[in-house]
Amino acid sequence: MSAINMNWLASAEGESLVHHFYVNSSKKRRFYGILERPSLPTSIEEVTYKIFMIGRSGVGKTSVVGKLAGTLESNNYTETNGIRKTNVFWPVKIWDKIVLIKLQFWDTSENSIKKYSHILSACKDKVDAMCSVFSFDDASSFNDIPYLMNTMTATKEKPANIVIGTKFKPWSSCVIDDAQIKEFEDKWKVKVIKIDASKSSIRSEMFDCSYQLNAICNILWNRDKEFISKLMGQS
Amino acid sequence: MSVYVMCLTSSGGIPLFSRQKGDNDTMTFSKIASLNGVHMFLKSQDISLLSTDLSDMTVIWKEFEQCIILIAIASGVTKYILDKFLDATFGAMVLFTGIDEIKNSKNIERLKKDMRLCSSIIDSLMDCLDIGDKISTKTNIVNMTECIISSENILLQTCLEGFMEYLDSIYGCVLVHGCVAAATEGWWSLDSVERKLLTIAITSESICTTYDIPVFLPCKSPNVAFRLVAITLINHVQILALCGPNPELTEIERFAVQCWKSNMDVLCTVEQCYPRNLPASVSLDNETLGFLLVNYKVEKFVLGRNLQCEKNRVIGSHRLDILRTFYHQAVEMFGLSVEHKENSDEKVITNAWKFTGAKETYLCSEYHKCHAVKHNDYILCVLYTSVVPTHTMRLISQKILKMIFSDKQIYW
Ligand SMILES: Nc1nc2c(ncn2[C@@H]2O[C@H](COP(=O)(O)OP(=O)(O)OP(=O)(O)O)[C@@H](O)[C@H]2O)c(=O)[nH]1
Ligand SMILES: [Mg+2]
Repeated sequence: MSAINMNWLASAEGESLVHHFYVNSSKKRRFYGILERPSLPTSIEEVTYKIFMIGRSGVGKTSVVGKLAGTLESNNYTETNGIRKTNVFWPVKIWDKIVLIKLQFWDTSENSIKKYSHILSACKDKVDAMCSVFSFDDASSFNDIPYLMNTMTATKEKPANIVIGTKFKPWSSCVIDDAQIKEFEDKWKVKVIKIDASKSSIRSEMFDCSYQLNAICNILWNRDKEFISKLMGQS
Repeated sequence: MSVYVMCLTSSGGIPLFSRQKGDNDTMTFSKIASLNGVHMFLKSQDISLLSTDLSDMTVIWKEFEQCIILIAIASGVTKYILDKFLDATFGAMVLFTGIDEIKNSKNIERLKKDMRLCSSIIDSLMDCLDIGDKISTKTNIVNMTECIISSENILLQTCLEGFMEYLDSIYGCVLVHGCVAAATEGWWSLDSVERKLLTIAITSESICTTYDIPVFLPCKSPNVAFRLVAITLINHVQILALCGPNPELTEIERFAVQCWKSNMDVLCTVEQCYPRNLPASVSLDNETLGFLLVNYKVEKFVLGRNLQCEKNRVIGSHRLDILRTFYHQAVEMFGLSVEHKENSDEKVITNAWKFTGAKETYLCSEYHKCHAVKHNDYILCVLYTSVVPTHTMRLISQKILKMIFSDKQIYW
């Protein structure tokens, strides 16, 4: 069972908070600068996590972040140049407590990392999770994932592993089938988070990605819990 | 109406990219090749081909660094502006790639790929051109920095300077909805193309909290990259800074919070100034739809709107882009003349505007009237409704000038 209530946003309590995240009365998500946060009661605790997006060029890292932040505008592709950092505020209910999670997504591209040495070190510094992204229509990007996850275990922060598969189409067959995903999940003990970033629905956009955001928060929460219990075990 | 821009290598005539805007046919490869062919042929005869006028279009050619040919075709755009547009386009190519890579690239495919990085900037530059195809909410000008005047600009300036000192950099500005509200002296010392490209580099991207983008400055530093750091303080208000390898991005953010958090209300007030772009103390009469105030020495401008009119009128009558057309076609053509100063040791040619001709000019059309008046280094162009009597335009324009230049709170 997950500590985070995956359906909480749709509950009466969740719904009562959702409007704080919208622009006025529209269903468009509000974007926050570094000096701002949603106007929730200050009693609600805020927890910040840094997530580094990795994966081949063109798999959809930038689109995923845009989707999760509610800022995705177009499906045009331009390679990401330099570092783009996006803060996403997400309210979750953990056991019986509401927590405001601030996810800091650090997005760059393989080419930027290759060209400029400071980019990789800035992205890896004090990172809480590595988010490896592959695309369901590109088998080689999926085969890369174990390698991507391994490159990180060396970093001293022991970041959590998040794996996201983009361009997921639940009703048609993908290049990567269910069995492969299952095998991967069992072997590496991570659940693949599936998303179709380009899809938009009539529902308010926040509900469209609530599953994915809750899943990410859950992974981060479990990592913290493990970390704490290890600390307690040592003393 | 439309605009095309094409880029080829000088030596091989290999197309690197081509972009276009408007309801036009795509440019075929054979057309691009013949346009380039004419230029190349004349070059072999020691003739440099600059431009040609078709019945409805202008074509201009320009070679950069003896290695890149840019060709632009447009309708409704003056040659002067088209030339500026090509300078800015070449600048955009240098911005993310560096001059060295462009000059000495052995691998054309890689260069083509690198050029794709700047395509959204080139598209935004085309949006600055006056091809009258759509009523956009924003009217931008390719060779000038867009500004916003608020009563808080002085406070912002002080705060920005403190912040820049910490970054150990002299190049910084505060952007409100993409318009400069305050900037350091160093920022104004950058070439106008550089200023334009740096702001477009951020505003043409989809929104995010913080950017850290390596950039080459086409004039000041074409070989060594700076970091262009942009931080969103509150939604629609960003600080831009050019810095070296240090401090780290997280450090910069932390300091930005320290520096700006006590000024939240100031930031919110400035944000509210948009899209009027003027402080509350400047009020416009009913028949004044808006104005364009240009500092032609510094190459910056403000577009002030009368929101009251916007509410009362049918959509489309409130076209501030008319002011841009008026400025390019009447003021730049008749009021100002270009003075070419050639600096032989540095091999740079600077075009400095020197005011010569008329001090005032006006235009009357069916729906609008425009009036322009010069005041020191400034030119004010005002868009009036057609009901305003022609002879009173200059009185109202003078009144606006007085309002802006006598108020000590107004600083830009
Ligand atoms: N249909 C569909 N298209 C997607 C999805 N995710 C990304 N795309 C498209 O794939 C292209 C590349 O996406 P980006 O997000 O820019 O890829 P990236 O991983 O950031 O690429 P780099 O910046 O080069 O590393 C874009 O045209 C997106 O619109 C998805 O889930 N579904
Ligand atoms: Mg990207």
